[in-house]
Amino acid sequence: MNRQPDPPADRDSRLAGLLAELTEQLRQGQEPRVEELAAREPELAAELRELWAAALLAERFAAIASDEHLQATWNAALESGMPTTGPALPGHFGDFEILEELGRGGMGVVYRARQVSLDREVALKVVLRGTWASAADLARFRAEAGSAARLSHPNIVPVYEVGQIDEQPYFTMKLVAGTTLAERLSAGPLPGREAAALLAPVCRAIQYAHEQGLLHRDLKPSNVLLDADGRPHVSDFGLARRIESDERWTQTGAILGTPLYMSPEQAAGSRGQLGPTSDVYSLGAILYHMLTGRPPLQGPTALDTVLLVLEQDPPPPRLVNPLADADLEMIALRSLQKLPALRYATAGALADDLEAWLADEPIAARSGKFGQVFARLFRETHHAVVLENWGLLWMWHSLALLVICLVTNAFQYRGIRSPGPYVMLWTVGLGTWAAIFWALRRRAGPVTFVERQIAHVWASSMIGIALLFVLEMLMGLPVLTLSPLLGLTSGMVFLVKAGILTGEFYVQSAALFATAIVMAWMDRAGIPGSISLFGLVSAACFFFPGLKYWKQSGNAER
Amino acid sequence: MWPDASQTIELLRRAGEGDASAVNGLLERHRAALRRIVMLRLDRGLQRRVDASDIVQDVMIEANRRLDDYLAAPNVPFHLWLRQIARDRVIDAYRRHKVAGRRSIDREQALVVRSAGSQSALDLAAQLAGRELTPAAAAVWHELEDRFRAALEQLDEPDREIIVMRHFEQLSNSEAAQTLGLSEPAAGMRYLRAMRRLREMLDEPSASGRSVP
Repeated sequence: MNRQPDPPADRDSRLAGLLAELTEQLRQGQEPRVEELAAREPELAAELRELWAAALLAERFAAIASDEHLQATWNAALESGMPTTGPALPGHFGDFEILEELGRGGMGVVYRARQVSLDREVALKVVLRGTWASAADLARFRAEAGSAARLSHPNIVPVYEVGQIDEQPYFTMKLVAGTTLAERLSAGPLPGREAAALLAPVCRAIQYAHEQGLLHRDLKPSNVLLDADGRPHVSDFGLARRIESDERWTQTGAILGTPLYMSPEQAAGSRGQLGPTSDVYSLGAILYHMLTGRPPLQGPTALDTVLLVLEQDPPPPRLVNPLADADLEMIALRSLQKLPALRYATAGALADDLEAWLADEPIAARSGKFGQVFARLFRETHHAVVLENWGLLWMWHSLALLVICLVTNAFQYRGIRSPGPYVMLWTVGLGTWAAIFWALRRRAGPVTFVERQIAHVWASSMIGIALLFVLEMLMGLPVLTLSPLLGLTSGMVFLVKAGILTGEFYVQSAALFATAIVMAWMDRAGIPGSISLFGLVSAACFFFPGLKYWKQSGNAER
Repeated sequence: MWPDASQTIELLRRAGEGDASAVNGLLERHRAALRRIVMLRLDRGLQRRVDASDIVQDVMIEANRRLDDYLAAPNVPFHLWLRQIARDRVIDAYRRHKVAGRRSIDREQALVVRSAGSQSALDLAAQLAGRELTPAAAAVWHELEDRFRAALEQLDEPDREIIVMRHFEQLSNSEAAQTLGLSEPAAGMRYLRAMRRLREMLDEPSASGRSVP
């Protein structure tokens, strides 16, 4: 009862413990289980993720700063001053006559060019010189481009050839006359049907590539070309560069890519975690952009975006665009789960759901693991910590409620018909307890704004309950006739608390509303004990969360 | 980065029995870690004047000389004891060379988070870990590195020190507590506060940029 005001310190020591645990896991060479710990301590989750992100940075940079071998490589690299020249200017490039520049991307420049010997127009991508420092890198590029060249799918832009002229690697692709999805989206969101119809074949194409053992790694609207008929073609397949060895990244601006559609595991540069589900995430991000007109998470700088991608859930699409379809929203959010295991397992499964939605069939995103999204409804808000101040008091409160209700029923049973004793019990009795309750709460430390709000809701319910006796008298009704309203009033209070504190209180709210119905039925059928029933239900509504938060506050052990 | 503790204990036991090869082995196996500790704390100016290897050698000699005292009363784990000697030798080096500039001997804990210059450390990090980074991720990490370095520079000395201990020197919380003469919960709290400030600095847009020479 005499809770000493130090909940923040307690919270901090738990947080410090969790951070130490994660660091330990990392040092043991395990994958740190941040989400597991976050789920165990939901009220610490947000800050834990934030601080852990900073700790990870420290670990990474420490690894660099303390490694002499790396230092040496580094200094040598600085001294040699790598030349990083741009690609060939328009004009002639081997067999190609360069016609115009189509765009610049992460690894080079794309031109519309005419291949003189074959007399055909192609998209020529010239890779920035210096991007491939070593022969091994170049060999890898050639191998990847080669496997991309073997892909044959109607929705994948075919790669014609991969080559090198004057140490300048390049590859050619079919020239798709039209626009890109990025340009299309710059005009705003797409209608649901159009979005699903456009993305489903893209997913199929990605699935096909995955079956061939190739990840895209850099899916984004600007890599989805739309031909004159509006059909999508995925370009730059499997060519997203791996950065390894001593490659130089000295340019800014033009060659920087975007983390907007990147999966968390990719943005974090996690080792070996990239898989088909990383592309699924990117497809989900594209769908999100189609539905809302903007990428799921976007910060003022690329860095802020990465931090968002690592830490935050995107706002539900319908919050951004109220016109977005609820089922498509589900599909997008399932693809955008932070944990790869919670996403669609394959791009094909995502395509299945999009096609099912187009055919007005039920979608898989609504079932199974997607219970996750519903679970979010029952999640605690960040205000739920105040309940720790109340845990023990709520257990006492449940006892007080139960006693008052049982005494009321006992009075009834003894045939007391005059309102006096009941009014005494429910106004003076309950009011006294409320005063004690509040005094105890204040003694335990400063009362927060949220607690004041809740106290007001609570007080309003007590005033309402006391006034029931007045109404009964004024309306000439026998005392306690309106008692089922106790259930309704309490149910309303819990619904408000569910919104402010934790979604778990929806359960309490529903139980109390149902109790009101049962009480009315019992009174009508002449079954005694309706008020005791209310006493039991409402006592349980307070006791169990009270116990939970009392334990959580750490006072249980003291 | 620190060698296995159980073997160290075994070697300490044998060294206590007068086994000279155990003493050697004991010191040798800590050489790499000591070198990192020293490198972390030598700034560029001092690096031009002294060789980290010389300092490490000094540490080894002094440790050898004082080993009997340590074995008689081992108050701290062996590697923390070595770390303390290394730290003192680095301070000596700063004092002897009176390195000009803001890395004065007053800032005895001077930590050098080296700038990558135009070369992204992340490329090297990628090399170190053999992990994949796509171009966009690398670019972002480059920016992140700049911001991280600037943020660390802005922290107060005690905050920076505990972060350096926990992450750069790879000490556990209890080791950091012993070194600082704090209780474990107190060290944990100091670390938590430091990380909070670091995080604030990271979020502060003004913390970015290349303020570090």
